[in-house]
Amino acid sequence: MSDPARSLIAVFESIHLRDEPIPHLLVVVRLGSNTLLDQHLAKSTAECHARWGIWGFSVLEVPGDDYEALARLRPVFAARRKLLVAHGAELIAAGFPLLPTLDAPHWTVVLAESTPEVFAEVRRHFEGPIDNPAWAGKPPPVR
Amino acid sequence: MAEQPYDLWFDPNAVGGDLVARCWISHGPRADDDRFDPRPGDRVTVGDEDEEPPLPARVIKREGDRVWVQIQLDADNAAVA
Repeated sequence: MSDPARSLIAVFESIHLRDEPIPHLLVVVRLGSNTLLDQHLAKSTAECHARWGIWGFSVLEVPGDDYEALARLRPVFAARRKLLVAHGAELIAAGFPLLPTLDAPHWTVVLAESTPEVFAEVRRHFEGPIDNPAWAGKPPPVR
Repeated sequence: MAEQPYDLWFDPNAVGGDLVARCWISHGPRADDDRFDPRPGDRVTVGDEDEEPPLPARVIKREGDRVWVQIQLDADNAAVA
């Protein structure tokens, strides 16, 4: 029997979109190496659906291709060694809309459904993992 | 790297600039632990089964299965923030 204290309340929140056009060059990242595995995407998309009623997952814009700027906006970014990278235009062209959700630089990649087939399709558009240029634990540059 | 135990699964991509993360108890490794009953003020750990070790966090809100935590980064991780 489920614990009522842990039961879910099926009330969606309104989606507040930023009044922000999609930049010509939008580079988005997903933190971690395993973050696009089916089991991770299943959790992320379930949480997105429970919140807003749409299937999707979070990505972060790299403002002006400046990874240090992203680390200042999202301190947790500097705690991650590896990233996966995608181009916004490519995602959109492939049928994955991008919504400017929450506060910048957060975006949501929208999926038609939460299935392994769709996860495999969206994964094809991410490259990496690459080393995070703004990782706080990286050695200092050689002078 | 050997996996380290943690209390709540989190999506680091959805963590805000205020370091607040929304977690679901049912998505974490303690989903079946009836004794796990996080309350505001409690210290917990969050992880995502990636390369990074779990991070400490403090519970700030609880609604049933959902738990809001504020992640506590150490000085090294916050160095560029």
